[in-house]
Amino acid sequence: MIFVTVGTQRGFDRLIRAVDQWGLVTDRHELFFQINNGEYIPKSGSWVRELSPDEFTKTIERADLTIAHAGIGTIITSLELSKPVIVLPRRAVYGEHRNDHQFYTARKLYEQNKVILVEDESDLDSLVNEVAMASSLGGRFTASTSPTLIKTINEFINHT
Amino acid sequence: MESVRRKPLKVLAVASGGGHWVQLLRLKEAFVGSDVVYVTVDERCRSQINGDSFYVINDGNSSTPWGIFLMAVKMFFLVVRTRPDVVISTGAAPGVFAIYWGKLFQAKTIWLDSLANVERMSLSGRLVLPISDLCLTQWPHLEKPDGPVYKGAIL
Repeated sequence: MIFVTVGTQRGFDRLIRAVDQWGLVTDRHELFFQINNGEYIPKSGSWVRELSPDEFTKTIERADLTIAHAGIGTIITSLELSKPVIVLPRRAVYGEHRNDHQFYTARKLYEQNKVILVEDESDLDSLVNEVAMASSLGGRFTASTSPTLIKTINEFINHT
Repeated sequence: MESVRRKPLKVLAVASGGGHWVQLLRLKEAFVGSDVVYVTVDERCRSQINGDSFYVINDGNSSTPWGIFLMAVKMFFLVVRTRPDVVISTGAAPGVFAIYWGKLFQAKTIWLDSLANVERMSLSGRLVLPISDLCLTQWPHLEKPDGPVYKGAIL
């Protein structure tokens, strides 16, 4: 199953439409969409507007791959479960977010091999390739909190 | 039961929803031995913490003045009620109020700026920088002598 998610704040029709159109053409994968208050309703799979944090985690766990906006919550949850995640950053120019921070974050995380980045939804061919590639990537993606960070905070708390 | 040398420190751990909350949870290990009170904006997050105290406040951002006002007031009473020794937040708006009110009541304050801010520190982070005792960024290139310090990231 491929999980497509736009997060907790607002819709992201550009992502849903792109994956849906790809899904309708290929018709090979089970797709599940979380679309928030988006207007575009996907036809290539089932969909919901919202998931509870628990349901969200369980869905990522169940999915072979997640395709998402470049939200940190989605990215970390995928990495915690060692699941590959393809991200399409929200862009300010399309009114999808107030600025382009998702784009810059996604680029950095892509450089660190944490996410697969699709910068333009018209790169559907490459998206398809990424998907095919990603299905053999299980376990490559991981998240680990810096021990130095934990130690710094823990010591700061306890030296009150 | 192990003998306890002193009363555990009370830590007020605050985050708004989505990525902020997910980042806060990744710091759990740093709170070991403390009495943690979690605060966020979604009741359904309660199941993600194991029996620690948990409070929900309303969400809000700079485009919702009434929500922000209500959040500030609620957070004030939450700080009065819990009297934390330490306040820690990963953002956004609820964390700003928690840090300010915490400071007012002489708590130590820790800010961990979200990973989502690669180009510059978040607006919330810049608001709490002057009064947070420990201000952390998760990107090495954003570390500054008079700004946040970098000690690693949550992934």
